[in-house]
Amino acid sequence: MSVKNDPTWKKIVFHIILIISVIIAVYPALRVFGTSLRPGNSLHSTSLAIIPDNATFEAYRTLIFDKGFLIWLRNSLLVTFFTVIIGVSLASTAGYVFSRKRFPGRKGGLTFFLLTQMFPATMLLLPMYILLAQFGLTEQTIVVPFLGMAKAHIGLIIMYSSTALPLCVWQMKGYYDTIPESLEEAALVDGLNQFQAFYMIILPLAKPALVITALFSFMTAWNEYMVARVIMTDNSLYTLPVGLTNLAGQFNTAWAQFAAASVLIMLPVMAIFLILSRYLVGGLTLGGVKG
Amino acid sequence: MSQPDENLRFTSALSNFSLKDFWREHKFSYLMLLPAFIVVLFVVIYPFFYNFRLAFSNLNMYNMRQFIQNGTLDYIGIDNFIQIISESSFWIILLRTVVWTVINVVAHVGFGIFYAIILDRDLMFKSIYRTLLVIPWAIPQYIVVLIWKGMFNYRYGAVNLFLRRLGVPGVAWLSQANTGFSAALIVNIWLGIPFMMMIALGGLQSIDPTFYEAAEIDGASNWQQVKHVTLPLLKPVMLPAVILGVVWTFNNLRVIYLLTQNTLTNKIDILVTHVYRSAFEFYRYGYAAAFSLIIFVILLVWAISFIDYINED
Amino acid sequence: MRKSIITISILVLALSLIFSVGAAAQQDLDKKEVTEKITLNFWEADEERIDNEILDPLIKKFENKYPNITVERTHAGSVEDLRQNTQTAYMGGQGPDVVLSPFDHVGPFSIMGLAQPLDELISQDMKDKYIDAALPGMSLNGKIYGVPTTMGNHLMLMYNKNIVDEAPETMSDLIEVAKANTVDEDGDGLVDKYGLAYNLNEPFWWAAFHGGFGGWVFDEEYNPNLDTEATVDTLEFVHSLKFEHEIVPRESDYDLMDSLFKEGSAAFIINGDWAIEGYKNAENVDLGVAPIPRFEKTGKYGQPLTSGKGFIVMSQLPEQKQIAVIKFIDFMTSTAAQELFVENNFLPSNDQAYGLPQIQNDPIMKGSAEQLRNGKAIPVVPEMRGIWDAVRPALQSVMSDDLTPEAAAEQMQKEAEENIKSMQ
Repeated sequence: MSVKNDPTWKKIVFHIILIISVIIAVYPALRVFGTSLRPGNSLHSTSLAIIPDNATFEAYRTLIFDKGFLIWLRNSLLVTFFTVIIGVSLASTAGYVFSRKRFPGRKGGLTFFLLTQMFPATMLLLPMYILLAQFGLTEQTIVVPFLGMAKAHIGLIIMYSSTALPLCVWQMKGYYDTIPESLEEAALVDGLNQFQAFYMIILPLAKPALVITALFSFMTAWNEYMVARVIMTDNSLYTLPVGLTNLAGQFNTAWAQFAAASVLIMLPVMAIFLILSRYLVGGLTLGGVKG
Repeated sequence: MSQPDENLRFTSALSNFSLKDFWREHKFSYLMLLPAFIVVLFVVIYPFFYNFRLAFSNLNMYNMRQFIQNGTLDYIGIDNFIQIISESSFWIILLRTVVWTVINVVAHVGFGIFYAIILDRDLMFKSIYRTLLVIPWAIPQYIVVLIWKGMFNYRYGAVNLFLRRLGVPGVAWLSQANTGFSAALIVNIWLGIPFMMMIALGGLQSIDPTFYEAAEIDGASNWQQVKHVTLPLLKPVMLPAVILGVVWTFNNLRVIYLLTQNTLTNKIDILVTHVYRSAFEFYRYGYAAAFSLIIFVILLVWAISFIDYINED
Repeated sequence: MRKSIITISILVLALSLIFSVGAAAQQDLDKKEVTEKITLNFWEADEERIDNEILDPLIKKFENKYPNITVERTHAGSVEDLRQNTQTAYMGGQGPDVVLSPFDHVGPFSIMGLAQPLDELISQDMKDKYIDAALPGMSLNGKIYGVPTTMGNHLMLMYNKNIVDEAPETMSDLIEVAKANTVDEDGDGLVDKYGLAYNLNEPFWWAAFHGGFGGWVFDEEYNPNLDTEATVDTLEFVHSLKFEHEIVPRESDYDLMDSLFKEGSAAFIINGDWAIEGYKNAENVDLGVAPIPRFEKTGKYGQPLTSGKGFIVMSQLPEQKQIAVIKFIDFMTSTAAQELFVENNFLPSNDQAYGLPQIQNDPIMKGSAEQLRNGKAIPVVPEMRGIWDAVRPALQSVMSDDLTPEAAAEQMQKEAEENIKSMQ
């Protein structure tokens, strides 16, 4: 956090800028909300009013109680939870060695992670599916009954983790680069081994990067549609994006419900962001090190 | 470093090489790296080589049948590639994709850092602003892009209604290629700022406040502090985001596809929308795979040059 | 004498043996029994209402009738998703056993070897169940690749009886009435209520007018036939609706026209049978349905493309599954089953179903059936896609006043030829 304190006029300017920016950021979302309240499934309306005439929460009610929204929610939470765990663990460890260590293949490894993002995703869908099918990871059979997790879900978790990893690894590495190595040296002198130095000293200092990694893994899994759409055929296994498209027909989309579902899908993301953003700007002072 | 020294180092390294020492020195590294590497390898290598094969074939709807049944392909060498490069539309689309990417990423990073710096200061309601500004990233893309499409409607769209209120006549955004391109830019910039803002916010935390104190003592103004302290120290954190941002924007299918679906079909395509159409509407799988490889190579060459360029300073 | 009787008898016997062997190639699976426990994977892309009110209840009845057979219905997303995902899944060795697709999926599926030819699998009795136009609608190269359940998917003229009393007979009438109903109510210089709203830039809508001017996109050999007088006339016509008569919104896609009509802000709309239910339920709309009016120049009515939805069976299924699938299709197209479709405003494929009172007595259904008569079946050849993709950009340019109709017709023809060539 910057230590400076700005003069009041400057603060007012900042507030004005921020308010205008927030309006621009939020307005389209408000229109989505308005669509969800509009009876009769119209995507557009000629009035600018956010809240339509005869606004009703009917779409939400039907969505939650008559459709499988809660089931989709559970499945999404399941898949996303594991994606985040895997994403954060693997990225934090891999990023660390890329930052600290020099070993053969380091540069190649970094570039490799980058490479994986460059091929247009739409062309990867078919072979990805074939590969997963060969390992039985497209089957709809449940493997963990308590959680309702199916083999297909495991396939998704693997896929999402791998999609999220490149950014996360690079992000963690970049952040570790800003932490001085003298900290580990001090820890090693104190008798800790390499892993302990990493886990107990360095990792806690990288909280902002961990937050971004977690958020990003979360979003990757939460919103992914194309692969999930092909793999999921059993209705009870649908994740949220797939359930969402159930509401879309060729012409006759149930726009009110679609919009309602979109609003609801957005809420957990906002919640997670709110919780984690504390750590994003937690304000770590490294003052103790320099002295 | 002179020649003889190098040779000496090399040969002594060779003769001193022992597997046990190598493993001991690098064990930690490889073990920490292994899980991530395996996961990504698994999901990327096979699909990549699958497409690699297809790129040299002429797989389309008519010879799909034998491919499904026997896995046989008619290989046509580099014909796909030659055809692609010799179409004048390829170069136009490529140029457009580059322009699209540059404008987007500059805007994303510029605004992202801008907001991050403001939100890092001592302001009231900071966390509320921060959370609300993330909404474009949080809301499911499919419906919000369609809402934007409605907002650009000539008669009823919010954008024109707002412009008219300012006394500016409405623009038929999605009827012309250049205004349509601007509309797509606006939507994608709107979508992409929060992400860069978050990364920049995280990166700002890694900057030791004493740097600012020192700069303050030296009499540096706010702007100078940003230029000489903040931006350089943000580099290691922003760099991966910028590289990936470029790659993602370059390959962003959705925004342009949805916005132009029945308004400006084929008129402001970027490379990936063209690939998508070829594969999924015309079944030209061989062609599309070759096209994708070309995209891949373009990005690869760019990324390597960019990283080298950044590492020089 | 005896010798000749014996010879003739042997000949007759031999001939009947030959014929019976020939006939055995006809398998008549709808008449066979399912002896094992079978699960059918059925994929569809219909809207929820159809899933819940038609498909699921019918599936239940089917499962009760045939306890050996279970049907797993999966909603595969949009129609595009259905096509792509069926293909992807098939290539991965998984996927559906039967899909409920629009007719035009027959093209790609049959060429790629995904669709099973049905000529020999269904009995003549079953084939006779359907109206004449049905099975040919899903046939290609002389083979039947699907069995239709609903016919139509056709555009018609719909109007809001709160705004206009009756449907016009000719195009000039329509334009006149629409003009009278295009008003700027609040005087801000912007039109608030439009006479006509339709999907301006979409070839499917344009094609209905094209037919009215005597045009057709293909010639006899399925080559593109777009650079014609009819095409130019149609382009001039749609251009004039926007720029000369100003009865349509300047930019209007499907969602906008739909929203406008539902709101009561458009007097006329051109839309299809899938939208009827939504408009019947819209508060601000009292729905009327009529054929698209007659063009004075040719004396022809608007000629929308007709299609429908039907079952396509995947190839290479084991025999028991094939029997189960055919029986499923037979059941879903029985008169009793078709009645459910009719109640939901769809025109059936089953011949007997046309006698149902719901069609005879309901003015909306009657209007829909009338329009169907004026329509022309959409070709299921995959080249159709090449045509659509050539028409669309040219149409858009004409509608944004960037291209003259003559130049556009030329461009369409050229692009269609290129597209089709690239698909080979």
